[in-house]
Amino acid sequence: MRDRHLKYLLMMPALLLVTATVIYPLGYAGIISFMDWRLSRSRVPTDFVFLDNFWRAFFDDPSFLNSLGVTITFVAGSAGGAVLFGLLIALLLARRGRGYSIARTVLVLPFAMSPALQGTSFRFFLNPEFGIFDAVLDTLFPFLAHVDWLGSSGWAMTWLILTDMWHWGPFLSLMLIGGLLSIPSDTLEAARVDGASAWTSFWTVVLPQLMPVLAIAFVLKTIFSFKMFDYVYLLTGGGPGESTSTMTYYAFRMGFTAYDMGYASAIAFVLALLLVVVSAVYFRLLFPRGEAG
Amino acid sequence: MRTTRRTLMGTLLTGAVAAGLVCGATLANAADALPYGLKAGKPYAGTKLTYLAPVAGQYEGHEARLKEFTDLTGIEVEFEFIPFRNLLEKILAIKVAGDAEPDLINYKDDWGPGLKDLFVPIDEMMAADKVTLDRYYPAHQLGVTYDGMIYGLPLRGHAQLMFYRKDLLEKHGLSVPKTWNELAEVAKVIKDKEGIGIGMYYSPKAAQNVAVWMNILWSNGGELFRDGKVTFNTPEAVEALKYYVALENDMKVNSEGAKSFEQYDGSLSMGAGQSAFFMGWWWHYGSRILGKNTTLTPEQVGFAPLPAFRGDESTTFAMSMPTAINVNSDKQEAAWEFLKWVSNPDLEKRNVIEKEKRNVIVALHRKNLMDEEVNAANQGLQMAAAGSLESSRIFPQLAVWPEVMQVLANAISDAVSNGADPKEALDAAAEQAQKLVDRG
Amino acid sequence: MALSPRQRGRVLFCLRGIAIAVLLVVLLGPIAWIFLTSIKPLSDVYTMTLFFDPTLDNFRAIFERPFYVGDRLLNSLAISGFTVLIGVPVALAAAYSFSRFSMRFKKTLFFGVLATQFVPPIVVVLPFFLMFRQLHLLDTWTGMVWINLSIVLPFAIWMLKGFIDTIPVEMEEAAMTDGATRLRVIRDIVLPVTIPGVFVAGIFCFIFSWNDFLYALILTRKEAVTLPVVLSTFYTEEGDRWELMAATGTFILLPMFAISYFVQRHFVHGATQGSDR
Repeated sequence: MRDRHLKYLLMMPALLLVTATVIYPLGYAGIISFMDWRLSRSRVPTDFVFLDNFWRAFFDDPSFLNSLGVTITFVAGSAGGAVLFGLLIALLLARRGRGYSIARTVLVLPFAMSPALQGTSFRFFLNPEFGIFDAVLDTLFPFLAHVDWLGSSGWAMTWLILTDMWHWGPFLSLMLIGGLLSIPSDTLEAARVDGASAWTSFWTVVLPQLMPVLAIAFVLKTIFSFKMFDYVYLLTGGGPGESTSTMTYYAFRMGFTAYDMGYASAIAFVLALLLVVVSAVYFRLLFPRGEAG
Repeated sequence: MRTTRRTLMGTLLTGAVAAGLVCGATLANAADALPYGLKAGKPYAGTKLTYLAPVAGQYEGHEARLKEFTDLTGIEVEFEFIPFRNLLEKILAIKVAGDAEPDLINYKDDWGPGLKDLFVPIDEMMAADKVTLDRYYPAHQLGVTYDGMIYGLPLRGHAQLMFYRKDLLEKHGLSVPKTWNELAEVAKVIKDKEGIGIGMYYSPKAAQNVAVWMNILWSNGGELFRDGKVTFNTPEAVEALKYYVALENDMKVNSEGAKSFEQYDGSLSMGAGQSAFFMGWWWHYGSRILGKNTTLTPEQVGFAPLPAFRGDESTTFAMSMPTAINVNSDKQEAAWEFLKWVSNPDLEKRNVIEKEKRNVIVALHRKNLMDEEVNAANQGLQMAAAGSLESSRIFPQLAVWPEVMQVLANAISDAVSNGADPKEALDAAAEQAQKLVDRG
Repeated sequence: MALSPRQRGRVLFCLRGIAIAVLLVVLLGPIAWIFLTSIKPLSDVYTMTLFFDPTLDNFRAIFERPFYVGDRLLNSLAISGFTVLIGVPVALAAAYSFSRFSMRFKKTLFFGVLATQFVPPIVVVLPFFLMFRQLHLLDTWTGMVWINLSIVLPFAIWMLKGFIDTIPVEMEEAAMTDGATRLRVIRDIVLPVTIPGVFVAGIFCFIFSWNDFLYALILTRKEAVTLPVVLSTFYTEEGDRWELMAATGTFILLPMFAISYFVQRHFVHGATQGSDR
């Protein structure tokens, strides 16, 4: 068979599956973001209101603007944090030897844990009366003894990010360990012979070699951070105040507690648009010659 | 000791009730009429109904006794349990789809105005079978009535009570607080001496903080709305919020963690011996304060109406969870038969006195709340709740209320956790709420 | 303070050991605590005690009504299993094509596939519900596998393309010059080298469909209900039954220990092969 046909044939099943599933719901959601669809008044979308929903979001709804800021804070913190955490783990555990391979066994577990279980558990762990995290932290850092971990904006956001990092960091590290171990040992050897310290060889040899994997990990994590919902829902409920109310959580609130599906869709599409822009910029920066495809 | 006594009593009562039922059934057969207004002659025999209900002991108790209904009518019912947290999403999906199933849906009263076109008005059916709402308290009657029509019958409902550590109050020679100021004073003493305070909660998550503030607000003569205008930033309302915030930030009489607590956490804290007071739904008494996971005994825990803010009468908040018939169901008559049976007072009574399998304390029928057996099996909790239910109120019946409530919950949380000025927080919330109301 | 290279090596070794120990505590601590909770009697669940009479009551409870963890486990296994079995080969084929061939609009197409995942599920779940209702796919394994495929495929394609990109094309070209067909090249040359990547992608797909909550919640009712949805039934109106969640969680996590040992071995194994070439 000729490549000319083969290349499309190979791609076809995946493209068909994805488009067949996504086109309808996505199109539907896209259309209702331009419509008035309040479930409390009607079972089906009613009037075409053009940009009203988007106008309301940007010019008439401080809560939405707040959620935009919260989302950006969270994404920056958790994507950066998780990749850094992953890199740290990878550097520690990317060695040969039985002990290391047993230690690595642990890395899939946090990722495999259902966010529902993790979110609920972490909330208990942070309880100032019978939470294990609270107890341990109070013992290690007595000056933090009276902190109500989810009761102030700063700490609530910090724990949201830490929770997400705990889930993702180890998984990302698995990707990075693969990358680290595939750096030819003679390259490192050569650097050592040249008298480079571990520190300089990390910057000059390891990091550049690792860059493609790091980039993928970072983009992947950014997308998931933008979409993160479970931990806000389970840990903080967007609070205190609206200090951890991300866009996904706000869209959920508007759709499922305020019954306003039109507005919820509009918020979701703003988020999607934001993601398209951010990813496009990433792709440009990371793969300047368009080699990412 | 407690369990043995309870089990024994339970067994005796079961026996008595069963005997009564058998007698009743025989008599009914003789007269060729079924109890609870059920239609004789099994006209819907073979019909299979589906029923969407949240996970709670109440409904499990109904399901466990379902065979009695099937024997009477030949109708089968399948319960579809969904966690309470996800109930609204599920109902909205049903509404959007316009599906004929489930035939019956249990929901929360304040969702009603937004969902009501999914439900069948049952006024006529009720009149035909002589079922009236008189058997319930006013707050629970209001919870099923929208624009003058009745859409469901309440199956689960709660009053708010104040729970306190009787032993600790006695130990320090304190009396049960009747006003918020007394509560703060008493709690201060206990906190200084015992190190534990009020299991208060301020988290915006389930908007339970709104209910606490609303209790203070009502008692202070405030209103959320007046003639379609938002009035929850009036001086009375601001004063109520200031007080609620001061409990945590100035008087410091709450237990640790209150800022991020939801109502669940408050009762859990009390059950674990970490709080001396808790204010909230009465069901917490059975499963959280005296549940299997706590060490407290009934002798240690007292309950009373919520404190008043101004004067000595408090107006407290109540809620209910009615069951309604799906407007798209093609088995509405059979569904009505089930609704009559499942809401009958005898079933409810057995649910709260037979304690072997599950500890249900929730009852709604006036006569059950005043019933001696019921109160004997539950330390008199129902009698206490009856008092506060007489004067209880419910959330405003507006389709936009769920959204307004969340705005309020955030404003309250902002004031307590992020140092926002109560007046400014409420002004901003009121402005946002007014827009939502005007939009209609 | 001058240290000889040997001393320095020893200090570094110790530091690394401590760091790894801390890491393991951070990662395993919460899991261990959840496990402990699952065997605690109810009266000790909300205490920090380490001394209690272990019980299997919680495990017994989750397999009984109304939770039926056994049935849900089967559903979860089947749905996630089929998602992986179908998803990985399909993604591999597409990834190979994206990686090796040039075509018009490739970049746009690739980005487009990825971009389908940019809309938060919470908003498309109702349209999905309506679509599945029309197609009679609500509450079926088929429907759930389908929807999970649409979630995992874009990411699997992307990950696999990354792996294939790192494999030099020279070997394939040489084989093709020798007269091998493209499909043979894929089978005999590309596949063996991408095995570690396939493994990661497979695990990724498995975990994603295993943990999917929102779609399963709205799109299933009783036949195809999955484990995460059961997990949420422990949020009763009477509070969060944390001990039951912990028991179910332990149950979900145990097999992962076994899986993860093989996963990390394949990682290292594959990577070693890569460096030898």
